Amino acid sequence: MIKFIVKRLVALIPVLLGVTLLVFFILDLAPGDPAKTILGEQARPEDIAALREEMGLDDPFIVRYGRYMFDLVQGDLGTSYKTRDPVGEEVWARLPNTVTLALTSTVVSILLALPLGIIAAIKQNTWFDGISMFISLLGISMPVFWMGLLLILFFSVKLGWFPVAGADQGIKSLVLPSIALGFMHMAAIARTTRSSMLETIRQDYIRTVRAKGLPEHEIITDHALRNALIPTTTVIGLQIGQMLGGSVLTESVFAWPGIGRYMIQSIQGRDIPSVMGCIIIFAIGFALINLLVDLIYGFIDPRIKAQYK
Amino acid sequence: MKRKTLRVFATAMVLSLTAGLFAGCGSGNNQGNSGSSQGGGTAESTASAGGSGDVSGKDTLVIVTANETPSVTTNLHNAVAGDYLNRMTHNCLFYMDEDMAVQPDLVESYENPSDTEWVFKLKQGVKFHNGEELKAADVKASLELCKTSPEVSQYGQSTGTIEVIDDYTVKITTDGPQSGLLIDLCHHGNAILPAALIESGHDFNKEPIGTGPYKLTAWNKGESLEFEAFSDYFKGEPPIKKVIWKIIPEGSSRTMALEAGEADLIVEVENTDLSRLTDNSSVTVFNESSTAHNFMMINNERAPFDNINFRRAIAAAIDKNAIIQVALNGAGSVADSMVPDCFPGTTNEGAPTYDVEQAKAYFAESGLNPADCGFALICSDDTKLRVGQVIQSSLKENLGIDITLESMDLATYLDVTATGDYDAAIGGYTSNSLLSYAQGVYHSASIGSSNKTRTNEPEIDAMIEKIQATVDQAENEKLVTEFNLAINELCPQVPLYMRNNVRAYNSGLAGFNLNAGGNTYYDWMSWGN
Repeated sequence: MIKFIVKRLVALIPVLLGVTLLVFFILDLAPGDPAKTILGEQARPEDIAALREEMGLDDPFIVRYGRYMFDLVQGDLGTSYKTRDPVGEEVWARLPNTVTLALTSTVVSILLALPLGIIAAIKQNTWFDGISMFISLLGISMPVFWMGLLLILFFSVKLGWFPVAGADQGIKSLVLPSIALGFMHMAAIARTTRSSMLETIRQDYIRTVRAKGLPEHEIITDHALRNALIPTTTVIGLQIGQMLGGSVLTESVFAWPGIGRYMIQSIQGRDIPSVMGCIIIFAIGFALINLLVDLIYGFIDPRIKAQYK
Repeated sequence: MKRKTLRVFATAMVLSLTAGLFAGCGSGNNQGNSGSSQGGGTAESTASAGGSGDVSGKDTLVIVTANETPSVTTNLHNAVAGDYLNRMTHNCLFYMDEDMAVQPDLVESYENPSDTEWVFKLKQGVKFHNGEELKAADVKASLELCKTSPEVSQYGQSTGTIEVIDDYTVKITTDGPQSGLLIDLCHHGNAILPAALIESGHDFNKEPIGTGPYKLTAWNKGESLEFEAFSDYFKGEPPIKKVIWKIIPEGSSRTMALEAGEADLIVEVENTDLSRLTDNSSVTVFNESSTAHNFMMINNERAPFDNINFRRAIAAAIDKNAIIQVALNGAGSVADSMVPDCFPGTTNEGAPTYDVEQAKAYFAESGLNPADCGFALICSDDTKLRVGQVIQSSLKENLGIDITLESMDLATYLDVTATGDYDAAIGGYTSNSLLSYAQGVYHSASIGSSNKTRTNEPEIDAMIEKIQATVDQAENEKLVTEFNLAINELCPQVPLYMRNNVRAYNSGLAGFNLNAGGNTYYDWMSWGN
């Protein structure tokens, strides 16, 4: 198992190198001058030239990339063009918020999705199945910003239970963004769980345990669910990865100080070091989540665990 | 039994979801009013804000804004969001009052022995946040820092040579007469910092030391900035002891934060929420004209915009009132003059106004065929896109010209318009004086940056330079009028509208102030007093 983990972590290094090169190259090709964007419409040409020189933007691509990578291997994510602060500081200030929101949203989505998916499968083609799939459809179809605004209107403005925006009131601040984001992600998990459960409960071994006279709830929880969880775990893992990459709309509506909004602003401002910093963190996060999902497969299904060598 | 329980559970879920949806879709006005009264009652979530209406015992002002400043260091940004904050923590030698008149701030008195010499006597006993007293050496160091900082150096060009005469006297000798000197000295780039800290490389972004009414106590990145009143402020400790700037990017969320009593003042009010906020008795909406001149900039180096009659034809063919209604929800006024008409000496005379018959006459004079006059119009945000749609419709209807709208992100827009690689774009320019507007928008030295029409007329350049060199106010105004008539005749761009400054705030807030240039002085405000 440890060997497997180490191998996967080592494989992360070329992935990160590839990601940095690709993103640096794409940002370099993108139209727009960071210096002009920082100085704004009223800047004088000589000021733009001075700032470009100060930021080293006149150097060739390979020199800038080399300089960036030299700093990166020493743990320095560079300095933001826009704020002049270390990118590491900017990212670390926001990352805990993003991780917290991603995790609580995942909990919300799992709590909603698993019962919906399981019951919908057991009660296939009944009105409950229809309603649960309708709720899933709502989750997928409702734009998250609209859902967010509705939640704010009802729970913050009308009832005054939760703050409208920000992250300064602890758990109270976290409730509405988690529900909005969790509801959206719930849909995919519920649908995957349903189809996976449907497939599992039609297997011969389920027919066998049913013939042996086991109670229905034991058949579902002890025999069917465990096997049905593999695809669901994959989807949950992918969704956590996505959420770690920032949920820009949710962060904007609830003024949640996460990394997603920071990265979008950095892209708009052509703040290359900040974008690179965010992408590197996302890539590491995504890779680690994938690794974790692979390990969880092993715990769910011992046959998979046996392959971890 | 199980089946029955499931049915009850499912029905309850559907009903609660539906109730939530309908509750959310209530009328805007009702939301506003009930929201305000809720705000007063939600003590925990509004412990500092107290909710709209009831302001007894409040000592905190919560301001919500869309954008986070890149920096709070006065010389390291030229961002509006940063300017708001710098006004709280710093002072300049001068400031612009509510009528946009320049008033002494850190200066006690000044004299102007010749057109190029300015002697400033500083106020005595002014303290920085670190307890040091402000001296002339601090002024010299700060003004020189401005000159060398690319972000703000354009505001340091007029200050020439700076000399310390004694601890409280500074002399500036300009390179030729500079009529814009005092206005430049109002800019945050020329805010006064302690000389010793400048020399020691102090990180002003972590600890912005100034002489202003508030001190920055916390900057929660991406979320908020917190300030507390400076007890030794030279104009007296501000009545409101704590100010929090919250960053809420989404316009509707800002509105709801005010309605829920979580915020006391919105800096950027969503146009679509204006009527709802205006109808809310607990909220006061400030909606007055600003110096923000918005226009369709056209590349005068490219055909058909190199034809003056074509330029005048399109300027007369666009229904600007429709633009204000469609794009701004009425929060603006028509602009015909080629410069903001709010500065002394400016005039609308000679500028094309909306007149379809006149537009057709100009177009006939241009000798052009509508089929050859199509162009691409860049719109870099949603408001500009709505402006573009009205222009598209007006030009098609009135002159038979087909244009295409091109969406573009801000960075690309800034790049292509600065390099002249475009036909037309919706843009704007905000300035505190006619001189800086004229220099930025029409002087040939600004081609490649803010002169995006690429106007290159030696006569116009000479007129602008004359305005710059004329310190006498009456004479300066005459020159402004002369320049304004000439540029109106030349019609290098298509003025569209003057955007209003719009703010919404808790009606219990007294002393709210905002000048046309967008400056607000928070130490003038108090709760219900």
